[in-house]
Amino acid sequence: MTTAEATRVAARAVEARKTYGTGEAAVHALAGVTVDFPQAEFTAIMGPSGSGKSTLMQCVAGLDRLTSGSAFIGETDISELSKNDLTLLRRDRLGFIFQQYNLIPSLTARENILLPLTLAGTKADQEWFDTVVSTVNLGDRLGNLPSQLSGGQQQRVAVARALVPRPDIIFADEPTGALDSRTGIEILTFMRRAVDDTGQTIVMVTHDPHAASYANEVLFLEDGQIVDSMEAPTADRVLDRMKRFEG
Amino acid sequence: MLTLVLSSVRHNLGRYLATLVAIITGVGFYTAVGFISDRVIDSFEGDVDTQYGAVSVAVIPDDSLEVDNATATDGQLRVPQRAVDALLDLPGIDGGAGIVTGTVGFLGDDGAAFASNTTGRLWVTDEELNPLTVEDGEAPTGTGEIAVDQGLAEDEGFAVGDEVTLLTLAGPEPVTIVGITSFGNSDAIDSSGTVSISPDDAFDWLNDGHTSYETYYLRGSDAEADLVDEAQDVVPAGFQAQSGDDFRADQRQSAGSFGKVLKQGLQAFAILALLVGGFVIYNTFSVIVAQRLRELAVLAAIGATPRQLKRSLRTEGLVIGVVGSVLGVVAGFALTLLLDLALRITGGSLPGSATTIGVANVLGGLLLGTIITVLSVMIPARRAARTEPIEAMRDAAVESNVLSRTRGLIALALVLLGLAGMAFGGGLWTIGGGILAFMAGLFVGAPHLAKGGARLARPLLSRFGLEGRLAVDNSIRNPKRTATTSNALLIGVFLVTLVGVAGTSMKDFAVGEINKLQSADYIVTSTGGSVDDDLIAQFEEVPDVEQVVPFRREPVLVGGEVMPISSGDVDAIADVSDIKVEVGSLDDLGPGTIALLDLGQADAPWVGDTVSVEDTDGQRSDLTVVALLEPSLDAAQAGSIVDQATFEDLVGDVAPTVAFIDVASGAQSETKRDIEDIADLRPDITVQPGNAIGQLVGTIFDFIIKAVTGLLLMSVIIALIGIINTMSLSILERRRELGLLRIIGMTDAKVRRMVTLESVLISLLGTLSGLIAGLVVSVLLVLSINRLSTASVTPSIPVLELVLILVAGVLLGVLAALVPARRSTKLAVLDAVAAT
Repeated sequence: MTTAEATRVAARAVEARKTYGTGEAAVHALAGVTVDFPQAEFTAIMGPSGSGKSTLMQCVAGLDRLTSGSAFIGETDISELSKNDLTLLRRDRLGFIFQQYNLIPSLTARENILLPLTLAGTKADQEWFDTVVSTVNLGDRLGNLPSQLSGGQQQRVAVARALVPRPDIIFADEPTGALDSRTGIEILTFMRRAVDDTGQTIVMVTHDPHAASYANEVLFLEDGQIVDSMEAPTADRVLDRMKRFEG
Repeated sequence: MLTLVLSSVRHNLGRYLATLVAIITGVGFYTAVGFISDRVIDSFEGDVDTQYGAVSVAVIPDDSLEVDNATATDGQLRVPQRAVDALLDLPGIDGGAGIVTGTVGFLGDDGAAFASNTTGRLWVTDEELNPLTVEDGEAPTGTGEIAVDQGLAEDEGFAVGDEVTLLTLAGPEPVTIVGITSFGNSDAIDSSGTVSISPDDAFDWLNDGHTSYETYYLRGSDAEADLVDEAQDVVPAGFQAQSGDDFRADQRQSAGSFGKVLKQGLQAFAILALLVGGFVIYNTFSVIVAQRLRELAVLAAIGATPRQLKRSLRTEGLVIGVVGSVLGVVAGFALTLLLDLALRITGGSLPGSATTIGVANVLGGLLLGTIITVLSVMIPARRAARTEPIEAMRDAAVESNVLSRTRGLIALALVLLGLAGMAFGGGLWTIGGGILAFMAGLFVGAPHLAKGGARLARPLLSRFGLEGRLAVDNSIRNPKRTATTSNALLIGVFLVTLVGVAGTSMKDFAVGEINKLQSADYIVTSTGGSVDDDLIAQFEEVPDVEQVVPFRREPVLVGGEVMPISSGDVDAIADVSDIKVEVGSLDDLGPGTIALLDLGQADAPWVGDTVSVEDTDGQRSDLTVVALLEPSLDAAQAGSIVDQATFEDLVGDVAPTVAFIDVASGAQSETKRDIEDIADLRPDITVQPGNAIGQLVGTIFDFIIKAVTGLLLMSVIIALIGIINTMSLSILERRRELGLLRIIGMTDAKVRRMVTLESVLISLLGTLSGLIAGLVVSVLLVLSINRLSTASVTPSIPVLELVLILVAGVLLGVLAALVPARRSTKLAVLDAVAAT
């Protein structure tokens, strides 16, 4: 995938390093990672705890700064952006799904879904909004507050919130981590369909081999470096690969 | 458990910061006020010993003959030399000192008067009784010699040997400064400076040539009681002999009572500030309990009893209370030293020589701070004790914005009860109880008010965009906390409004009533001198002066009471002044008759009755009452009126000492200045504008309103700390949410604006409810006064001040948000994704 020049790239990292502490005590969360995330594909990042998978995603998504190297969203070098421009970039071009659903408790489901667009001061494409809402099956719960929704429903609101603005790229951090397996499958199916049907780009960090099997490609990180990748993954193959880390 | 408490305090120190600041501010203010007042009290009481330490018997005006202030004039009874001679002849008396004072001034080479309000004093030759110490040069013993006090010498650049011109009642006199004096630890006895004058000149210059004294002090070696008994027989009419001990005790009390009243008043404000601080403490601990629910639940799960949980919180409160109070006492002492230093730098000084650390003040501060803290922690501690172990398993603390209906009903009932009490109450208890019930209702119902207020504000704040909308929603997520925060501000604003509205209404009423009582434009009084023809001519030359009416006045005993009697051109006096006859007629005034001032006493003589009038020498005449004069300010100046012959018969042929001046209506301020300029060159002359008392009362009211408002600022500052505290704590609680908003694209500026808007909302809530409560209570109070008395006070609403308070409320909100808003965007956005 790293050599696939025919595919356009949604985001990439070049020689990305992230170091915590200095000298003897320095911890290299990212030790020079170069990676492309192709457009209209579903990429999963896996690795044992402390491998740097979350750090990689956070740095590419502009939530954290690299110690050295650069990260790009499309052609924009985000390591050069100011804090404010970074916020605007996230608002206009990125979407996020978290393990903790992270909805604003005082806003209704509809308002939470529309939050990024409200912040940008733009209107939703009504047709697209309806499509997304019906896809995630929330039609009759739009007027409810998050506290009146189940965990699965809350996560579906969070997915819809990421999808509705049609961002260049959606970053998902353990999106099914807090859900039972049936609801988890539902959410992953939505994400898969978004990639297949509308060409949405998704980058997902997970430690669940089953979740990773929904991706086009799985990247494996260990000690801050990409050590392997797997195209067309299945849950069993991913699990086998993961077992090798523990060995 | 104590280890747990201490480690918890250490870990949460940041959260306790606001609590500590609130306690320190209140306790610091309390102790500083105590230290300074004690110093003032000590110094005043110390002065008494310096001044009267050697006095065995004091011959002073008889208090029981004192009339109320409306009729008291500067005309005092005096101790004549005859009486003094008799007193000094008594066996066992070793010496004496008479007090003679008068106003003096200095005439510069340029012909202008300066230091023209200085007190001239007869130099006391008896060394033991003399309160002054000669610091430089020598005592003024010969004619033309004076001594000035250190302060005056420093201010005016006087030195021993200087030849200056002293303005006295007898006119300008060339004098030589022969000495510089001090008084105990201070410069002078008199606040405006002391000039000591030798016995050769003092009576001429200060007392119009009469050898008589205001008071007389005796020194003797026998027992004070015996000396008093002896003196009693020779004391002149209107005077009494008091033993030195009693006299000093009285003096000490009257000197110290000012300081004591000051101390109590100021400390009341400090306690109020501390009570407001109680809200801050309560809020902090409520938040801490909510945030620590999981930790408390774990403790409960592993076997901590509710009692232990409660005690751990209370102990935490105790630790914070003690630490805050100790720091507060230290801050209070530092504040005192700082104030002293600041005063010294600007050329002033606190009275007294040194600040002593009074044990009572320190203990009082420590106890107050600690008790209020522990009391404020009671309710949060009870909440902690109710923690169920199951809460350890639950997700983050759930905020509840559900308010019970009972609370609303209780609040409503209290408010209605309070309003009824204030509107229909017939006495202090019902009205006071009404105010308390009304305020209690407001406090109980405050969460409902917060919710309702936020709902009302929603359309307005939504105009600011999403952040405005979220600010409103956040503020009512925990309406109780919002309410407690704004309640702290409510108290201060309520009191400021109450004092402003009720005070202004009373002031306007009082000033109006007083001004109704007087019509003469100026009253000229000579102390010790006379209003002579030359002076009258000078006044008459001033443009716009229409009439100058001089009259003679002398204090005498009328029917056993000290009262001035006056005599002059009765028609002219009645013409320019407000003297009105109630019964009888001034036309009947002739030899052997009197127009008596009606003091409103039930047993007062009536027209046709006879009253006995006695002068200081004990000479008596019986006069027939021909008229009763209505009491007014002008009438009080004149007292009772007799005709010229009767006056001369009683007092002697003396010059007039008082005059009413009538000025054309619409006269300019130049007229006033011209009149005052003439008076300035005559130390004995004082000019009072006719509305002076009204102005004075108005000024006093204004001063009290301003002073009280200023003191209430202390509680407003603590309320400000409360808002900062609440905002900071809720930002910590919501950091996940704030992180999310920023991740999905809310700019830092908007996040800060959201925090600021919430803060403004809280502070406006407190300001507005305080303002409205203050208005309601003060208007009802004024109406109650009207209902229960014959007065008709119009409620005056100082609109400008109220608008200013409102604007200040908004600014306060913005100010309180400064720190929390900055902190809100300092948190890492990644907090949102970090699973807790």
